[in-house]
Formats: sequence, structure tokens, C-alpha cells
Amino acid sequence: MFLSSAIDSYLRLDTFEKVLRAIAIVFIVVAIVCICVVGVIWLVNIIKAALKRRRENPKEKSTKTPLFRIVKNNELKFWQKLLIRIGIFLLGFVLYMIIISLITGASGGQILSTLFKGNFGSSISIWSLLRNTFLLFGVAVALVPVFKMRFWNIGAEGQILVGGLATFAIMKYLTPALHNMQFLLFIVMFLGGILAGMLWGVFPALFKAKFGTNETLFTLMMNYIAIQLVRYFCIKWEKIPGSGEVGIINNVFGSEYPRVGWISNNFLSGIFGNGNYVVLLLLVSVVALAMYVYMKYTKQGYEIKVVGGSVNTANYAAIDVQKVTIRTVLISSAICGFIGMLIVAGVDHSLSPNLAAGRGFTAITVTWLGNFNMVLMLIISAILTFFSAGAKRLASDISLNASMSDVLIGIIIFFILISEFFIRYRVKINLKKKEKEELVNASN
Amino acid sequence: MLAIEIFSVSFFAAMILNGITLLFGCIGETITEKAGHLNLGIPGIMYMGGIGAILGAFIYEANATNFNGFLAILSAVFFCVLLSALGGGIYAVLTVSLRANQNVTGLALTTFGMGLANFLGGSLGRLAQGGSGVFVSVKRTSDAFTFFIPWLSERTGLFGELFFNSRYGFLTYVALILAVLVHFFFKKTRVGLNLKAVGENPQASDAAGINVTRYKYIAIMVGSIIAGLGGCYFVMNYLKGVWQHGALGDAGWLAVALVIFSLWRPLRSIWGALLFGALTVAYNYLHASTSQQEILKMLPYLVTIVVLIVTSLNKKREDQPPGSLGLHYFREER
Repeated sequence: MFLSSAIDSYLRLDTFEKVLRAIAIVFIVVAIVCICVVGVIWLVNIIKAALKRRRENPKEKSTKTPLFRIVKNNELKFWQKLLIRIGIFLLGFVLYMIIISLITGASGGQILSTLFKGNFGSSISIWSLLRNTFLLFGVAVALVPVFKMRFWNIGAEGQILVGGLATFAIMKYLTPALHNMQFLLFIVMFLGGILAGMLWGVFPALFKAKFGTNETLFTLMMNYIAIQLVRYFCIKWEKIPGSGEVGIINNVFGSEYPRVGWISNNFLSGIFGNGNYVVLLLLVSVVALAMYVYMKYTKQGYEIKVVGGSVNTANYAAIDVQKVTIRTVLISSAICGFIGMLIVAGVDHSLSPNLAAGRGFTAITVTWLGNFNMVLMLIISAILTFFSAGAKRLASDISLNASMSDVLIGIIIFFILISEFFIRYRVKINLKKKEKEELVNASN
Repeated sequence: MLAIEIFSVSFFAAMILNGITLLFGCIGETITEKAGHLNLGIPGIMYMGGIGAILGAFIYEANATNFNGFLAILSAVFFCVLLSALGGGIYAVLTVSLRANQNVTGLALTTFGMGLANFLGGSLGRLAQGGSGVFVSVKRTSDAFTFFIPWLSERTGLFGELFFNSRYGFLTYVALILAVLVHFFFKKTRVGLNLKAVGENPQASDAAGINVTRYKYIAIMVGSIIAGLGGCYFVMNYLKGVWQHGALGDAGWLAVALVIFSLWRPLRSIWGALLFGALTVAYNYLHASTSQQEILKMLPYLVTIVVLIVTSLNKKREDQPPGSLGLHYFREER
């Protein structure tokens, strides 16, 4: 009865909706299956272990040992890890949908179709998904070497901002001189961006290397100095007095040098159409590839890993820890500055304190959760970008408050963090206390 | 150019109101860090506490027939504590039990908390003023929060205006007392010393029979609730019960900075908080153009960096952060 009416109403939908609903159903089924499989495997293991212990020591009495015991888990196979990741992520996703539908009253299918429309609805939204994914991924790549070295650079936000600021300043003041030699202008912008980023990274690095100053908090503070600096210049260079906005630089209309210093978004427009971000995607990919090679196949990449593993080992191996620290942070902050340059020259063509849009902070999560694996990092960037763009669409379509997207991103990250736990550790249930007795017996 | 106008009662009041907000956050974060957890979610938790207070007050004002100031405060504080404990609970479960990375968890919690606060604020605004409401106001509860000692506030002239200004509210004095209490808690009580031991070296504390997990959980929860009260204080006393999108600004990050400035010492954080409060509002009281004001807003961050560098230079052992700060503790490791 219920099923037939459900099928009936499904058949009356148009094709696009049909496909989306079908995807939704598959998604949920896969989620449930994954969760069940993981749960069953887990439970079976626990019961097996408990039974085995009981068989070995039939006459134990229960004593006051904690019920749960957590042990390291290094035995998981690749597919098990993948299953756990997918399962818990989907659990988070189901919670995400439940929360939205509780708030707005929208059905699951409606939420899903809005999510997909927000990201794949038009070529503009597809390109913006790709662009934002790669920008976030780029910042995450920048953080790989420093995190590998156990240097907590949470100042990526500020490094992006000053990179953007320098780029904008160069576009503003050098366009008249260099508008005939755009290539040179681009080189100057590139150098300006990365040098500004490095300037923001070098102080924390220097003080960390020389005096052991806490870099987490140092870089965090540098963010806010960068934000204030950008605010200052936004007011200094404002178009309309009192607005605090600098407007679009080298605008198509009403400026002397239209589109000078803009990264082309009509590259290969025959294939990708107008308004694409192919250049941007390529540039970030090159950086990511270079970083992969650098970390995996160069001596410097190896040194970074040694320093991250143990500073003492590095000292014994005659690695100059100070030099490695400073060099690595400079590389990282230079890439952040480069991303800032890409955002200003390729996307915004403007300056605002929000140009980094929290990417510097989100990227920390991406790098850490991606476990320095480039592919995983790209996937996580895509997931986070997908959900934040989707939540923005939800905000406009089914009147959900726009701030909800932050809440939902937070929930997704929490769930990914939980999945990391189940990959790294295993929970054992203690039915009996025995190991201690065994030890005593053995020593006797 | 920078003519000074800071010797005014209104500057002093603004300094206190901002400073005490930071003091709450700082005490909360200090307790958390003493347990070895660098909680970068404090900004988010302060937002959650702030909106919790607004929510509690809003619910009470909407339902109460006879407005009773005491009950309004109770309702506001209850929801504030509830929401900030939720934030602290998420952080504690993820970092203590599940051993997630503290920085990542904290930053995610900040995103989450700010989003939740702005979401609830926006929804309440819409509830209060129909479709396009952008802010929510709980003026009556905010008035209840202000504290007025009849003789001290009125008759003592400048002294009363400076130190017993009715805008401060009772929470100001609660924060000051709390700072002193926490100081003695860390110096004189067994539990406080145990907590410090947990933060310095969880392995040794565990071996000495201290329940590390329990200490960490309680410290994080208590710290979060105190920080959440800072959010409540800010919206009720400084913003006079009006919530707008992003109401708390960067107060949470300044609170984290203040912990370093105060070198993890609650007593030192009192005058640190006042200094930071002064630096935060100074731009309003100096004759500076709007662009120069933005530069002046850098001051608290610059001061924090200078303090960071100075403390790492002098290498005094008692000035260093807790030994296991930022590291998770797993008994079976090594």
C-alpha cells in the first residue's frame, strides 16, 4: 500500500528528479550496508576474542577492570579502512540530512536534489565547485611539508591574505607601466605574492628555529595582523569614500586597462566553454605534483620527515634543524601566498579581508584528515567544498539560515575525525581480568 | 594627530567590559590548557555561550507573564552553560577519548560554534521580528544582569562610576573572584596540583594513580563553561542584550592570546585582561581616521606576539606552557 503509492509518486517526477532520488536511495542503502558490515565485523571480532579468553580461563571471577580498553590497531587492510571511512562519513551525512529536514521540514530527496543542483546545476556552479576545491586543496598542499615537520602553521589564512594584498597592490600600481608586457606583469605579481607570503611565514619560523617560540599561537596572531592590514588598505584604496570596498580592478567596463593582470578564464574555451578555471586548476595541480615529488623523492623532503619524527635523531644525523625548519616554512608560506595571488588575479579581481574565506583554517583539517595523501586530500577538499556550496544553495532554496552551512561542515569534520579513531585504534571489551595474573604467574 | 581621549569614564567602562569578557575566556582556556589540551575551540564555545544566554532570555521573556529578573538571569545562564558544555563535551570526547588532533578538533569546533550561534541568532531574529529580522534583543534580561549597589554606585562620584558602574553587572565581580579562586585552586589544593601534573606529564600522573581521563574531561568541561559565561557576559553587558550576526567578533582568539600573555597564571590574567580590553577599544577613543583605526586594532595581537617571543627568550621554567600541551595521552604508547 505505502510502497505502491511511493512508487507511483516516484514515477510521476521528471527525469532529473528521478535520477536524483535514485542516487539518494542508492546512497542511503550503501550507507546502511557499510555501517552494518563494519558493525558486524567489529562485533564478531569482539565476541570471538571474548569467547577465546573464556575458553582459555574458564574459572575467572569478574574484577574491577575497565569495561572498555583501547588498543592500537595496525592490522586493518586498505578496504577495511575505506569501509570505515565511508561508513562513518555517510553516518555523518545522514545526520546532516536529518538536521536540515528537522529544521526546514524538507524531505530527504528535496535536500539531496538541492545539494546536487547547488553544485552541478549549471556550468557556473560546476566550475565554482572545481575552483573552490582546488584552491582549498592548494592550501592543504602548502601545509603538507610543515605539518610533516610537526610545525603547526595555522597562519595560512594570513599568508594567503598578504599574498593577495601584494598581488592587488602590484596590479594597482604597475598596470599602467606594464600593461603592454603582461607576461612581465604576471611574473612580478607571482613574485610579489610569494614574497609576501614568505614574509608572513619567516618570523614565526625564525623564532621557532632560534628560540623555540610556540608557532601555533604566533602564526595564529599573524592571521589577525594580516586581516587588519588588508582592512587598512581596503579603506585606503576604497572606490567610494566610506564604503571600505576597493571594487574590481582593471574592470571590463570603465577602466583603462580591461582585464590586464587577470588570469584568463577563457583558456581552451573551445573545449571547456567560457568562464572556465582551467588555468587555475592546472597551476594548483602542478604545485601539488611538485610537492609530491619534493616530499617523496628529494633529500630535503626526507630531512623534513626526519625532523618531524624526532629532532634528536635529526641532530645525530647531522641535519641542520634550524635551516630545515626555516626553509620548509618558507616553502609552505610561499605556496600560500601563491594561492592568494591566484585568488586575487584569477577569481576575485578585488581585495577584501574575506578573500581567503577561511580556507587557511579549513585546509588544516584537510591536510590532517587526508593524512598527507594527495588523493585523499583532494577528495576531502571536494567533499567540504561540495557541502558548503550545497548548504548555501539550501539557504536560498528552502530558506535555511546561511550560517547553518558552518554548523554542517563542523559536523562533517567531527565525523571524519571519529572515523580516524576507528582506523587507528580498536576498542576491546574486557570481560575478565587475567593478564595481570598471568604476569604474576609468569614471574613466579 | 593621535590626540588622546582615553581618560574618560566611557573608555574605562568599555575597557572593563571587553577585558572581563576576555578574562572569562582566559580562565576557561587556562584550566583546559593546564590539563594539557590546547582548546582552539574557545572562540566557538564563547559564541555558543553568548547565544545560549540570548536563547534562555528569549524563551523566558516570551513565556513569562510576570517578568522576574532573577528567573530571567537563571534561564539565560542555564542555557549558556548548557550550550557551552555541549561545545566542551564535543571537544572532550573527540580529543580525550577518541584522541583526535587537538588543533583540528578545536578549529572545527570554532567553525561549528560560530555557525550554530549565528544560525540560532538569525532564527531568533526571524521569530522576533518576522521574515527579515536580523537581530534579536532581550533588553529586559540584559537590564536584570546589570548590578547596582545603591550607595556605592551613586554617592561615591568618580570612584563609583569607575568601579561600580551599573553597566558592569554582577558577572564582572564573579569573574574577578573566579580568577582569584582559580589561582588558589592551582596553588593550594590537591585537585589543582593533580590537574597541573596531568598537564605536565600524564604518564607520570597515571602511574601515581591519578585518573587522567576524568581530570581531563572535568577540566575541559569546566573550562568551556567558564569561557561560555564570557560570551554571556559580552552579549548581556557590553551589547546590552542585542545579538547580531557575528556579535562577538574576535574576542575568543584574544582570549586564547591572553592565556599566553598571562603565562597561564589567573592572577596575572586580570591585569592582562584589562590591558587587552584597553587595546581592543583604544581605536575608538583615539582621534584616528577609519583606516588608522584598523591599524590600531592590531595592537592586542602584536602585544601577544611580543610576549610570546619574550617568554621563549628568557626560558624561565615556570613561564613555560604545560609540558604535554597539544599532545594526546595514550597509556599503551611506549
